[in-house]
Amino acid sequence: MHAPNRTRVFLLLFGLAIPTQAFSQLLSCATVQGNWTWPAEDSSFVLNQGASGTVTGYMLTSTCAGVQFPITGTNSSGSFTFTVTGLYGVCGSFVNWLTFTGYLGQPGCNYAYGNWSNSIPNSGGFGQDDPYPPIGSSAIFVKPVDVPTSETSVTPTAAQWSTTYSAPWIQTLVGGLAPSEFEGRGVYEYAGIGPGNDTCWFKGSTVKIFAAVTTPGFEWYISSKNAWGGPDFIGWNLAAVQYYRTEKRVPCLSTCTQQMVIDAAYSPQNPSSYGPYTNSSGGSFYGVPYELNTLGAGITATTATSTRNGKTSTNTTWK
Amino acid sequence: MCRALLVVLFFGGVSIVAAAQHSTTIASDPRDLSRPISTLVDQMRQRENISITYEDPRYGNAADIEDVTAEASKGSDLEKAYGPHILVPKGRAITFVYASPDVGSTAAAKATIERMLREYASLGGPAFTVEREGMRLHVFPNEVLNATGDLVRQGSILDTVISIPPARRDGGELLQAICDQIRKNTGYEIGVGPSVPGNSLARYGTNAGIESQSGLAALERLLDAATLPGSVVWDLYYGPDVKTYMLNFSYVGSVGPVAK
Repeated sequence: MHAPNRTRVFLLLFGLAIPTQAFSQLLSCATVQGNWTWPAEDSSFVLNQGASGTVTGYMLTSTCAGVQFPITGTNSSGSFTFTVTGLYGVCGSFVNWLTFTGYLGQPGCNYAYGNWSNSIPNSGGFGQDDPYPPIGSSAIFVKPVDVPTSETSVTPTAAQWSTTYSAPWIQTLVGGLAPSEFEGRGVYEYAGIGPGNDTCWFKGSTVKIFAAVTTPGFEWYISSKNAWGGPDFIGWNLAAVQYYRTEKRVPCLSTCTQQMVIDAAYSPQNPSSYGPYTNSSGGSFYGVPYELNTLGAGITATTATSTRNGKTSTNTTWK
Repeated sequence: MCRALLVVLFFGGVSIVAAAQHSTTIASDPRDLSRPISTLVDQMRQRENISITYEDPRYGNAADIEDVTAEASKGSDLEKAYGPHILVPKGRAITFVYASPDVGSTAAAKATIERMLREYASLGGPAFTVEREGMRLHVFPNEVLNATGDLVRQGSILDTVISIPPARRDGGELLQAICDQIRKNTGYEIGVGPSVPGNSLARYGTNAGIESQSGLAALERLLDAATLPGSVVWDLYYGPDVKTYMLNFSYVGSVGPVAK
């Protein structure tokens, strides 16, 4: 936690200038909703966002403890503006209003940066365009990263199975503080707990043991309505099904676990599980694990099955 | 002469030499001796973060083949006795030792793998060779016993030169087209194994075709376009009973200083 800088709080509310920070790229996080902290000014912002992008809420500041200053504003495509009102005369403030205009940063969508201005008029910057600021930096404007509570899946139909890739599962993240809370975020898969098991494999099989996620660190972007931006292919493909049937290895089953991780920027209020990861492109990022999935893939003489957390897709068309 | 300096010089020097020559021992899996070289290659990938591919020979001699029907088949006793038998490669147990500097550069790693392959061939196993192409080292067959016991030359099936007309395809469709074209040119089917990096290939799209390229170069180019270059390697396994290949994939992550 950063020590409050009471001098800077005074400057902000009482109309003196703070250096302006430059903007960078336009970002596309869906919502500004959450409980934001601005340690440099010892202030916090409780923001709600409606479906149309309308922002409401209030500001709290240590210079005027216990008073909620109302906030209204808008957010669209990761670019927001909101205004704090009701300041004048409260706790000796000379400022009528205070407006924040800025951007939500990726990865994580839990940090923001931009400019403020007030009615004096004075202006300055808030936050910084850096998801992983140096330890101890007080120039942050952050909220605890939003983490899904779970995922739901659409079970693929037999017709959707790919002969090369197997069964395509599309997931939707559940939880969060607002509609489309996770839009603009990234989720990643990693091997879960312990080794998987493959009862189809036998000594000398031309198919190697298949009991783990194939590309640790693979990323899916979260699109609108919290849905993954693409499928996760789970299960045996046609060549493997035909091979194990030919070799009289069926019925058989492969199982493994898949740890899902969602991206996050630094916030002192992040969950303790916040930590560093490497994605499949070799890049580093920080994230929070949010769900451990059990995956399965079965073959019988007439069926191929793909299972994700107890839901099963059955394909009877592959001969 | 400063005695302390001598001590530091002598013992410090010994320590440095010892650290530099720290050796690593890798060995075949006694529970599965079907493809010992593939097993060793896999261990080198994991330990040294090297991008190495492996390809089976087409085993054709009884000395190189084992019948595992009794233990592997889930068919009835009748099927086991009178049905098609499950035949797999029969390899030789091998233990191989190398030192850290032996894999410190691409040339050193290649020389180390060559030494490993020579040691394996001296045990009576098939002869393999290793070449560098693109970002990977490739281990593939060189000589193998034919049905009559003669040692005959056999190269990589992925050396087959292929052409594929341009069309809109995703990565998996292009991969399948590469395998289909090799089958058309050689008669040998290559199945795409379930470990294919499907999520990456499904996301990748191209209009490009392939014009007079080796299957190996086409495969490398596709994988390196769809995934982090050098991060995905393959094990091309041949089934002596089904007389087809299976293309297995492994993710080795961001490759280290060798074959980078």
